[in-house]
This record gives sequence, structure tokens and C-alpha cells, in this order.
Amino acid sequence: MAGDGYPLPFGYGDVARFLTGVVDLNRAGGAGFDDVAGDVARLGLPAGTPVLVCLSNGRRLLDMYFAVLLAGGVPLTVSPATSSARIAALATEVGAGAVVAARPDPARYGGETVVAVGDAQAVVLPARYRRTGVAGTVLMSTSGTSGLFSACLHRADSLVRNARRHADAVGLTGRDTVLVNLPLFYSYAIVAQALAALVTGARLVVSGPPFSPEAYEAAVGRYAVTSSSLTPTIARLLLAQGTRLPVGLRMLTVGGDRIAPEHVTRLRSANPDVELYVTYGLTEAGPRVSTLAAHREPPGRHGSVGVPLDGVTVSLRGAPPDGTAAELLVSADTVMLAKVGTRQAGRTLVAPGVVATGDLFRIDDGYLFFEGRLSDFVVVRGEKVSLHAVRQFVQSLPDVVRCSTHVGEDAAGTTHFDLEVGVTGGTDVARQRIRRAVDRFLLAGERPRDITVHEADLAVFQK
Amino acid sequence: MNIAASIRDILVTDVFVEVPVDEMHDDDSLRDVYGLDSLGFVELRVQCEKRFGVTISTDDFTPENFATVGDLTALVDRLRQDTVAAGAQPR
Repeated sequence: MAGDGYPLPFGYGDVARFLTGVVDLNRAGGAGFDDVAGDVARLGLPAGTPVLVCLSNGRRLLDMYFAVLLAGGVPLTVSPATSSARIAALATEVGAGAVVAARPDPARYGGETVVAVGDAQAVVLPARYRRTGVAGTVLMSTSGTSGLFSACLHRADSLVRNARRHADAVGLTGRDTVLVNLPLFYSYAIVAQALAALVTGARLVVSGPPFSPEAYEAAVGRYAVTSSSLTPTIARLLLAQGTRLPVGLRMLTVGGDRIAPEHVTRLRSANPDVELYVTYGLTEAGPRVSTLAAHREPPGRHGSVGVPLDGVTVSLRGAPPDGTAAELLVSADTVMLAKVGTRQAGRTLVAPGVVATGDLFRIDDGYLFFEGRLSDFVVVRGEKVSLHAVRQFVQSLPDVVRCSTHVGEDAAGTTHFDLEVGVTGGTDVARQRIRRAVDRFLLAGERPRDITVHEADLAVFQK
Repeated sequence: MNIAASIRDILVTDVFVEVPVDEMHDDDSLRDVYGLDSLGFVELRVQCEKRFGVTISTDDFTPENFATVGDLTALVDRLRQDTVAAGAQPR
């Protein structure tokens, strides 16, 4: 696949040395990076061809990611829990040349055979669907904001630049050992953890689900982990259980969703020896935007996501008066080049290098305070869900003429959403068909709790 | 249906794993081969509790016990025996 394009900020040797040091907690042995890189090159895809990588967290995923990139391909990692129908649709949208998974059924992707690539298998997709992009770029899907069939296109060197800025903001160095238990298809994990480890020389330890506090503590102790990143959901779990952070941890970052200031304060109180960083970012921005070093701040700032990284400029849309919330605009040389695939409103480029976040902020003395979201998504069981994307999907089903989402909370305060669907024809059959399609196509967090189906009054829609 | 067969059925019916039941093996990794993510493991835990009438505690909800179909079968078997020993009736 090798060819012209954006230069990579690392060479084969750098990557091979880095990967040799990666510790995979879930999988021992397996093919070496040289074998994987050779197999990827033998796929014979043109430079700039997107390759979907649907593998679980671990060394195997990282081997594949870097092998595709070094061969001139454009890697796009997606959750291995994604259904083949959805992967096939995404592959078509981005013009992918191959899908790599553990045990793919080629017929589900329009292919005929599988080809071994290391310990995984590739289905080379029919050439008629392929669209060639530019070598040295990467596609990143976002869980909630890009929709079901789109991804953000970034230069690989800008992701590395963002990783360096993140490392500087949290003091990550070659003396650190970074534990990854967030999914590597999250932009935060691949950039702020994997790429940051690559460029700083930190050691990487990769784990996977299910998360268990005991396994987490054991991994930190056994591998002398100094740096860890958790979602607010897991941080709250640890607080609720009264579990202190494992001994030996130097720093913890928490991000990916809003964390309440009182939880930040409690995390600090329970773990006074651990540096605590609250992070904000979005895949479209590259992804890291701002950092709060909570251990150096008074409690009054624990509700903030801190100050922008070096090289990142923020402003509020419309330049409102001080103290007023408005949509945050992020300007940086790490912002995505474009969105590829099905587009939707929110989190879009408003100019080259400037992205509208869809998030409401106020800025106080340079510190960013999250006030809410403009964009149409919710966090369900720790996963960001684009309600717009769910509605779009359901409205694409046969006989569906209308779909609305209703967000609620149960008695325990857990967020859920329900669907109300208007159909033509019989509602019982439609309900079964919609439920089957939703269960088969959407990820677990994206599935509505209840689906109400009623016969649509077509006259209502005839304006 | 024995425990392992029931777990394979749960994987296909409730967790929506696309690997056909007759191509599943006891030593297949739930994460690496079947692609379970964090919510997939939560769903598998809940469905096993319902199907087998056992409670899978947080202490037992570990990567080791949920590594393969075989590992999970062993866990459910142990929990069912514990349930019987406690005088309750597992399913």
C-alpha cells in the first residue's frame, strides 16, 4: 500500500520497538509485528485505502493498527461488538478495502474468502466499493456524535502532536507505565494513551473488559503502573464501593463524560497522593482539548475541565458576555481534516482547523466550565449514544414513517431512552421487526429500553 | 440443555454474537473471538443469572471467570452447587 501522502512521524523501527514492550494482559504469544506487517502488505491494497480493524483490546489490535498505517493504509478501529451488517455499511460509507476481525464470515461483507493477517483474518472487499484516500491519515469513529456510518479523518502526525501535548499536560514521561483499560477504538485511548506512550517511551499495558476493581488493582501492582485513565462511570463505581486507587499509581485521568465536582473532590480526598487530571476532548479536535490538574486546584475549580492544551485555542460562539454559556469552538492544528461518510448536525468543522463542539461552556478566568450539550446525545451506562443516529437508523427501516426518542431516568438515577415509532401497516409485525433490527444492528448501549409502535396517521405528515 | 450449551444460546440470542452455535468452542475467548465489549459482558452476566437462577457477585465478575465459554461454565456450575448447598433451587 505504500505511496505518497502525509509523512508519518515515526518509522517502522520505532513502532516495532514500542510494540515489543507492550504487555497484553489478556492474550499471550501470537504473531509478531513483522509477520502482521508482512501479511498486511501482501493484501496489496492501494495506498490511502481505509481498513476497518474490528479487534478486541490488546497487542494484536495495536499491531494491526500500526501495520496498516505503515503500509500506507488508513486504519479505522471499531468495536468488535459491532454487527457485521453495520460494519459492512460503514465499510461502504468510507470506501474501505478490507475488514480485519478475529473470525469474520466473508459472505456477510460481500467477500468470498478470508486471508490470514497475523492471528486475525481479513476480508478483502470488492473493489467497486473502495475509495482511495491519502496515506498518513487515520479514521476515527466516535461513539455518539459521528452517527452510525461516519468517521473523522485525521493526519497521523497531528494525532501524534496531540498526544505529545497531552503528555506534557499530565507530565507523562518515559519513566511511566500506562495502563489501558478503555477501548482502543476510543480516540482518547489510542491517542492519549497508546500514541502518547509511543512518543514518550512510556511502557504500555493493555487490558480489556469486563472491568473489575480487583483485576485493576492487581494489574497496577504487578506491572508497576503509574498512569491510568478511567471514565466517570468507573470512577463513581470505585467511590461507591469505597475503593481507593491502587498503591503505586502516580496519576489518574478521568474524562469522556462529565464528572461532578463533588466526585472530583472525593477522589482527591480518598487518594491524596495521586495526581488527578480531569480531561475534556472530542474526536473531531484530535482529540484532547483541555486539562484540569485537580490536585493543584482549589475545590471551587473541581467543576472545571481546566485550561486548553498548548497549541489549542478556544472561544465561545457569538462572543457572549462574561459568565454566559455558549457553544465552545476549538481551534488547533490537530483538528480533523474532514468527516467521512454519513454526516449529521453537530460537531462539525466551521472553518479549516476550527470545530464547533456542540457543547455549552462558560469560561471563567481561562478555565472551561461545561454547562450542557447542544448536540443530540445522551450517556447510557457509560456509553455516548447519538439519539439522532438511532432515529435515523430506525427511520430507514421498512414501513417506518416517524421515530422519536424520549429520555428518562429510573428510580436509581440511571439514564435510559425509549422509542416511539409510527409505521404504516400492522403494528405487531412492525414492532417485532424493529426490535429485531435494533437488537441486531445497534450496540448494547444504543438499544432503547422500550419501543412503542403505533399506526401513523399519514395525513399528519402531508403538509 | 447443559450449561455450556445454554451459555452458547445466550451468546447468540441475548448478546447477539454472530458466530453460529455449532462453530463455538469451549476455549474460544469471549472477548477476542466473539467480540464482547463491556456492555456485552454485563448482559451475559445478567442473562446467566436469569437462566441458571444464580447470583454472580462482583467478586466473581472477573476477566478470568468470563474469559471463555468453558471458564464461564465452570463458574456457573460452582454457583449452582453453592446454591444447592445453601438449600435453594437453581434452574
